[in-house]
Amino acid sequence: MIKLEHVTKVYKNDHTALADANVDIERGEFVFLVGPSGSGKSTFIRLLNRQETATSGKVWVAGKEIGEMPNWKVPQLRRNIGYIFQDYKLLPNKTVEENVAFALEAIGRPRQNIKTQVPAILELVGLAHKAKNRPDELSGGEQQRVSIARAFVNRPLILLADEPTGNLDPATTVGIMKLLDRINRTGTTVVMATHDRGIVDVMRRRVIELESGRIVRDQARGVYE
Amino acid sequence: MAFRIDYVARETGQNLRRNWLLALATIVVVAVSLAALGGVFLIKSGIERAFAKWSDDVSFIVYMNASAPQDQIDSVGRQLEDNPQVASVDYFDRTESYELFKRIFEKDDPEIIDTIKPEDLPTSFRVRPRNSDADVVQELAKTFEPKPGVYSVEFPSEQIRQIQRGAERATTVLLGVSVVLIAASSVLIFIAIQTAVFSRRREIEVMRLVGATNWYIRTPFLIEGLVQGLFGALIAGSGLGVLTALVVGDEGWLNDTILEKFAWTTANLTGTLLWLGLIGVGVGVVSSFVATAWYLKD
Repeated sequence: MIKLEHVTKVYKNDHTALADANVDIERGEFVFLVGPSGSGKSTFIRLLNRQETATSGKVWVAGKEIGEMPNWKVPQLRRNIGYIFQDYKLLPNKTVEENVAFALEAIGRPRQNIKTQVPAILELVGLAHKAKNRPDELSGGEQQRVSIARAFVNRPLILLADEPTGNLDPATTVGIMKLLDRINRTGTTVVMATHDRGIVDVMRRRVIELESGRIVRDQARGVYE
Repeated sequence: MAFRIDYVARETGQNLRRNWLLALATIVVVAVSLAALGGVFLIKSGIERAFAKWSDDVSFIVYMNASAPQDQIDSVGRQLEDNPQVASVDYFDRTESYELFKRIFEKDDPEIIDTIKPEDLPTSFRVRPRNSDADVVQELAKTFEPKPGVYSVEFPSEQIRQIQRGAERATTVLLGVSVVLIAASSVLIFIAIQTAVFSRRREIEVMRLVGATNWYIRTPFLIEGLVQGLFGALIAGSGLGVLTALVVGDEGWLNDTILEKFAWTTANLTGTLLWLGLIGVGVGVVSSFVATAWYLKD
């Protein structure tokens, strides 16, 4: 599903964010990216949906080499990849259901389609009763659930999450992880960057550890350290 | 990918509402600029009509009798061409004279056009002498007056030429000013759209990450620019319509004044309005396209 071959990313200021990374992620895997700040976790994730392009090496996603992909094909790629932000990035002037519907409207889905899919996904994330609320009326955990609903409403093959629990307390984090686990069980590949030792140790999934842009550990059913 | 019209309409409406003051200011500036440009167009058409007989290349006109036989016409033509002081001669046959006649009279006396047929009109020679000095031209022109078949010889007095030159310079300056105003309005539309894009940057970021195409993201902004340009053009057009009614209508201010000959026609107005619409829409769409291109670079 995802494959990195000798991928190096050097930013314009000569900072090497990722150095000769080789990774193969199967369909339906749940992968934690761990490592200190600045170790290259975010760059790793941003390479997978073409927010960044590799300086050298090849990145394969869903059977396609995306580094050479023309810009006009990138939207099609991204429709297969859900993205979850640490700071949720909800639209403050839209309600919960409008925020989720927005992701489908933005790719031109017909209204009838949106009408059935949005309530279903809100049910899945446990927020059907808050559909009419605005983001500022929700707790941090609830806001992240909306963000997950928005990322998953189009049923992508891959879900990328950049520190999704970074702003949440431990109890709320457990709820979010249960939700991501549930989504993973539907066959969706999940790649999640995190600092949260507790959840990595509890979930015992594949762990890729980065240090100064290098992969120093790739362990099935791993722990944080 | 199907475009959803309700989506585009809603997003465009939201943009315009959110920055309504800037949108309003933009529309007003577009309207003023286009009105100025349209005004220049109309004044120019008036001047062109007033001086339709005298283009730059013609210094005098030899009118033949409507009944002059062909051999007389040919003879005058030959003499003009053979004259060493004549630089060039254009012969206007009856059809060409009729076209010119229609242009001159269609506003003031449209009825007269129906009563006149091409064969009623005299043919004429438009002559450009080598020497453009008024006295020399006058002297040369006079020698053709007594030729057989010649009805009359007309040449513009120096005053008319001066008025014509002055009017042309004035419209050129006004045209320059309006072009500057149009440039200013496109900058304003550019800023208005950039502001709209900036205030929606979070939406745009989300849209890009869920796989919206650049065109899908861009369309509401293009429509917003188009609406601003179009509304500006509509206001400018209405203004010019009112101005036309006031100035050159049957009871217009120019009627029975010395400037009456400079009045433009409703046909001039229609043409000008079409141009204003095109320019307004063009300026709006192009400016917003450039404004969004800055944010949508991949």
